[in-house]
Amino acid sequence: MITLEKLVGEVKQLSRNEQKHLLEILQREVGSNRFAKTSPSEPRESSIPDSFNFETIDPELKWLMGNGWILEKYRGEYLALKGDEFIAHGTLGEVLAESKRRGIDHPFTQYIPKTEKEWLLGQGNYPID
Amino acid sequence: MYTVEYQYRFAYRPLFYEIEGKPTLTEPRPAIPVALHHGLLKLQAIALIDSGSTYSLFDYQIGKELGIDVRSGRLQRLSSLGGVVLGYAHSIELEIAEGWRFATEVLFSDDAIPRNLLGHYGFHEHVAVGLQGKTGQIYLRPEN
Repeated sequence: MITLEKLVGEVKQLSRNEQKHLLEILQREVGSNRFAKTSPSEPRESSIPDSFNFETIDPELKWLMGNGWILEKYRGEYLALKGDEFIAHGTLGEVLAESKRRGIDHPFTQYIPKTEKEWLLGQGNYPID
Repeated sequence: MYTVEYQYRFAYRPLFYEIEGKPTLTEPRPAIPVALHHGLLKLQAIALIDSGSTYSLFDYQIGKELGIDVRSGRLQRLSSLGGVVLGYAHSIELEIAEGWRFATEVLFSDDAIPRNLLGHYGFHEHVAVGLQGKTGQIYLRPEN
């Protein structure tokens, strides 16, 4: 029977190139399910382009990717984060004020639109009158 | 052969959004940190360089935090990929990097928007932009 411990031991014996190849296979296999959310209340997968090196992504983006439940819970609100710490939700003014109260001058902020379509609001804009 | 020299370089960055209710990151996009100044107030924001947008557009809550009465500005109706947006024009100063800041006019949205945008008016008319998608590099210089 294969155990994780045994498998890891065998992987360590592979050459560098073989390990890289195995990693590519695993990334393809696991695909968009790599990043589990942390809230048990609303299971939600997250997806990320395969071309990313996840280690270089800002910690705030990693946190958002791992906590998809925020999409439903905080629609129509701003979130403020610093590193992997969720600081506040509310209006931009409210999240900035709470951040400042905690001594954080420039938090990462992200507005969560009320509907999915609104993520594109404003993009490619042109005047209509 | 044309040669353009740029003074500033930024890296592309992924942006957060959702597809079918799932949290998702875009492929890295040309988005940069900027600071908006109005009077003595200043606010930092990430903005997407959107050469397909006619106007530079920022969320109204940013305008509000800068002490601007957003709806007092000139109204501009816009069509966009996400639908119709109302914007109100206001004069601000846009800071791209330390020591590089210019007076310009941008729109603030009537309703909240998730992405601040640097379009033709307000940004491209003041800034020369070079994009290297393959390496994810953004090159900028003041447009005199």
